[in-house]
Amino acid sequence: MTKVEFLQEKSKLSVFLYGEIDHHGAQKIREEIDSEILKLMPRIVIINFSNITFMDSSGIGLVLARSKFASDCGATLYVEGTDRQTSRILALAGIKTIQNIKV
Amino acid sequence: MNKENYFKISFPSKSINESFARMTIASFCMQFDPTLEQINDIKTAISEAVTNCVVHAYPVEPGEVYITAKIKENKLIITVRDKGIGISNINQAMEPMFTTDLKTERAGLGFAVMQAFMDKVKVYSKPEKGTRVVMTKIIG
Repeated sequence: MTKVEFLQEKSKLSVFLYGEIDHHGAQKIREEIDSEILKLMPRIVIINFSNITFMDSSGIGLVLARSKFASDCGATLYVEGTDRQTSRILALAGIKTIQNIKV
Repeated sequence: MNKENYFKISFPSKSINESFARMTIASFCMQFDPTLEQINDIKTAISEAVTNCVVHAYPVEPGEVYITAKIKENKLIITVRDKGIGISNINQAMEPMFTTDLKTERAGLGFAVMQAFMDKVKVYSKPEKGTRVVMTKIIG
């Protein structure tokens, strides 16, 4: 099961992901994230992976497509809270994790 | 302890079964004292192989996915097989970022992940016959 929670602070939207990201779970949460971006039109979107217990390459597609969507909406997307396993997966597509984004 | 064991399962290629395959292989491997990292690597690789069956092997309606896992001494061999549409060009399919699935958000990195997380990955396929992915990992 994959779950998603949102936290908005000024022009920053934090997206907290919970559970496992696979092909099955990614399908369900991507629309939720896109509609929240569309609704709030933030300048910065941060996807937080610290509560993810498993992720395969579906996470790459999820991040790359959200990055494209955020950019189309005038926002920049960042990834934070990755552990060894999730950052290894994301690194295969050249996605790097950042820490402490200030608004 | 005699370190020799195996299991065989099959299930329909429904996306809900991706997590079922991961949980099954993880509990099978527990008896061989793997590290947490090895368990994660194996779960990730099998998740990619099963997802390929769900997304690519049976594009019209779900078909059968067969998994065999064998362990001998410290060597785990996992076979994920389908009787789906097959792959006409295996080398191209294994290239990072190559995907035939352009309508969704698949990154084309399934085989790249399997290769990065397992010690050996071999793919056998025949168009219209199906595909067999054999992955090996040293554990324990």
